[in-house]
Amino acid sequence: MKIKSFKFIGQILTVGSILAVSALPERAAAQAMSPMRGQVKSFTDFFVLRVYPANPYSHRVRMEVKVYDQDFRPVRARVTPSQFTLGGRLARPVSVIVPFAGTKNRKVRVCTEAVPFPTQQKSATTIRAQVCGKFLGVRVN
Amino acid sequence: MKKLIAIAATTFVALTPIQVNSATGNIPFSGAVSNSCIITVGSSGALAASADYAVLSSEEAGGAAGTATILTTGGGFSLSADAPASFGTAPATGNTNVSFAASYSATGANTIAKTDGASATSLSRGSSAITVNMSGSKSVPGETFESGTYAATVVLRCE
Repeated sequence: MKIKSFKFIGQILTVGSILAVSALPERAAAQAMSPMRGQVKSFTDFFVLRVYPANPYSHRVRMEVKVYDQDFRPVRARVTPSQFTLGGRLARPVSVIVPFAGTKNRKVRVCTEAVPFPTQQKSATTIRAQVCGKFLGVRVN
Repeated sequence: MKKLIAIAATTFVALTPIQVNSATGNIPFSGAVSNSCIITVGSSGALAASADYAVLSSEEAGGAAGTATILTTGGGFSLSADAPASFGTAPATGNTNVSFAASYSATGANTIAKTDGASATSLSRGSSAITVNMSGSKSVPGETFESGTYAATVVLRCE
């Protein structure tokens, strides 16, 4: 009887831990952005990406998501939201809609940039961190 | 002798494993680490003027490099640093005839000697301390930087 009840508790814990893992927020860990690579197939004139910028700091940071082509020229993509404030150690989803612009395949860089902290130094160099993922959109039809 | 036997018996009892009814249950855990790159900016750099005031650089005496930490969870990433196109803050003639350069070096999971910012370097998995330097140099001989406050931004990129 004792063994049976222990097995039952074990089963409950097993199910519980699986549920706990599935209920965790997606990409909640401290990552600047994920995924960093991807290929998307689309039947339309656009392809859609979803990236998860993350704030690795323990304090709030203002972030921007920008889309560039292979030569770092800005791409007219719809980024929602393109600017936002993210709490410490948090990530949030950002949707990126990229037009094929008449091409069959389109390679883009989706970059997350943290707005640099203001500095009080008179003559200073600020570092702007930029983490870029490389994505390929393939038009199927 | 009796005492010795008593102590030995007590010790034997104390060291005897207690038999209890027990059961084991396996509790699985799972998780995933995505292939990602994290940049954590440390300190800002400081620019100092050269003796002839024709160069403003973080590598001049009195200047300081900017710092950052880069952590990658997989391979296939590269590091580069874009030099600024101009000073974001400068006096009136501060951006006239100035050429900019940026460089970076790394220690830790990646050991990178001082490298021109425009050259991308492949990163191995792990955490690395990055040092970033920049300079602005007057390109016309004899010209000097005007007195005032100068500030510029270097883009440190992981892709």
